[in-house]
Amino acid sequence: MIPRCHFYLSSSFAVFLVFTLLFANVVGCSSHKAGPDHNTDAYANEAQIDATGDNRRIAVVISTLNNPWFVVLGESARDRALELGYEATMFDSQNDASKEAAHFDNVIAADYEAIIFNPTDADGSVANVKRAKKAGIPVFCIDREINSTDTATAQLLSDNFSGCVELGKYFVEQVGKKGNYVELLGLVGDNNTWNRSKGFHSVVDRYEGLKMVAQQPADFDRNKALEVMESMLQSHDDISAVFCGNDAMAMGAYQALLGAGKAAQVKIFGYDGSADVVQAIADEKITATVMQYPKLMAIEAAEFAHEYLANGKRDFPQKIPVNVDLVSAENIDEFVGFGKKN
Amino acid sequence: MKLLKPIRLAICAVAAGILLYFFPLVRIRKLGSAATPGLVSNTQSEPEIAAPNGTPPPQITTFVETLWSERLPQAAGNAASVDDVLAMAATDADRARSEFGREVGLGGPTFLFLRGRGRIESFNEDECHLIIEGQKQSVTLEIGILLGNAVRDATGLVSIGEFPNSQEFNRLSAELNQRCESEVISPVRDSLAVGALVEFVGCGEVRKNNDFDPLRLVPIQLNAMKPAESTE
Repeated sequence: MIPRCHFYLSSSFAVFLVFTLLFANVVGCSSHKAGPDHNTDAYANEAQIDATGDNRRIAVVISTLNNPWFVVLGESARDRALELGYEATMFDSQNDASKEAAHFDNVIAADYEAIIFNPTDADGSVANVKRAKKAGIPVFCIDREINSTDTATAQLLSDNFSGCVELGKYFVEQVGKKGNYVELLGLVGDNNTWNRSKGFHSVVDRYEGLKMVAQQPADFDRNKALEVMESMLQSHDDISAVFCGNDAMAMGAYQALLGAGKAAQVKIFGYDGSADVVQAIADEKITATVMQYPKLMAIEAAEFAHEYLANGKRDFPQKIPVNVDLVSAENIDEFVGFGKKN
Repeated sequence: MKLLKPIRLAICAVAAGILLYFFPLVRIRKLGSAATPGLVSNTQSEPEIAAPNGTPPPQITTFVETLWSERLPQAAGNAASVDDVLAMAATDADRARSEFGREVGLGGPTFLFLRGRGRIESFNEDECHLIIEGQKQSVTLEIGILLGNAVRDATGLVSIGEFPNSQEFNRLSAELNQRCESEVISPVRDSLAVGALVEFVGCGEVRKNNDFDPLRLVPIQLNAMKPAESTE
């Protein structure tokens, strides 16, 4: 028979243990530094908390960090904000509108002072910016546009249309005025997708001999581009070029063409100026791209935020086009990934 | 041992009470109050219905019509003289760009809005090369397929900030270029002849200083005189 006292001891000890664990858990949770959870798509530099204890925080919300170009964009904005004395946190929306909305919820709730924002959707992201504006938080859009002229504080946007006009002219020079080609589009909800496509077609469509035999979205994604291109090649084996809405898709298309033994015959045109495509142009694997300047846009946006917060500037131009440059074998020596050589 | 039982129970009850007071298992929070700072929620926020923009999107057709028929002709009177620009560019291209040009956005080309006259040196389907009297540099009028944003951006009459959607803003360029092709260039194409004098108002862009020779312009107004008339 088990003695009663032993039972009492055990049960009391169990209760004590439960409360001790509960206490430890609660104390442990409450002692967490206020800041984003690193397991939930946010990347903070905790070493840069203002020494004075002021809450000077800038959020950098990026559409996706699954693409090196956007990593450069986000990190450049974050690093410039840090240099300017702010605590900066980067959030990855993973091209998911609901994740982006959740980031805004948290950024607003956590009283960030400004948001540098690379939206996932030109229309869908407007509501998030409105919420931030209502909460008194200025939003500076970079690279991707929102369809509004009075919601964001300013929007710094690559001049994609002009870039693809130049790319289109070069396309005609390289491919000629006759031939079949295919197009890989980016995200269909993003204005950049269409500005690039329309800039390109504003040139190429003027030449009746150039026929687009297929056009399909690959969502700015390399793996998806590989699949889409493989599929296109099964039904169109007579193409002489492929126009891709970004460099990640250009690399995916190249892989597909390489696999099909057609890499030498089909000219590939990308957009972005990513490091791998700049190298691929030097190696004559890809014909041309358009260099955007993510660092320039991101740094400028961080400085705009600083001007707004520190110096009270309010009269920002609503939309600011940022120059882009055609990169081809002719001028490849002037460029490195994501920018010009110094 | 029996005496210890109530003491232990009492201690545990007091400890539990203290703990629950300071660290309640359930916290009641007013709806709409701020979430705990720093915790990134994975929950989706309530979708909001996007309110209409304060500025209605310009109706491109009407906008282009007004711009083309009224605002551009008026602005043409203020276009800089091509002679002045080329003369300055010959000695100081940077100064010519800053004094006579305008930049749009960050790091873009310098746009120029110019008027002048010149004599046709040669021409083909796409280009018309002009000699400008008294200038070292020449001018090339683009008369083929017109592309780019020179007409839209050189005059300063239109700003991207007026357009909620940059696609519409870019469509404006295409519309203006087509107007130039059909209403400016096409009617005078048959009048072009080597040696003929032409008067023009045009828009161009300069990316590098050597783009001043030849200076390429898209004509928004173009008058060509026959060689016999223009020799006077």
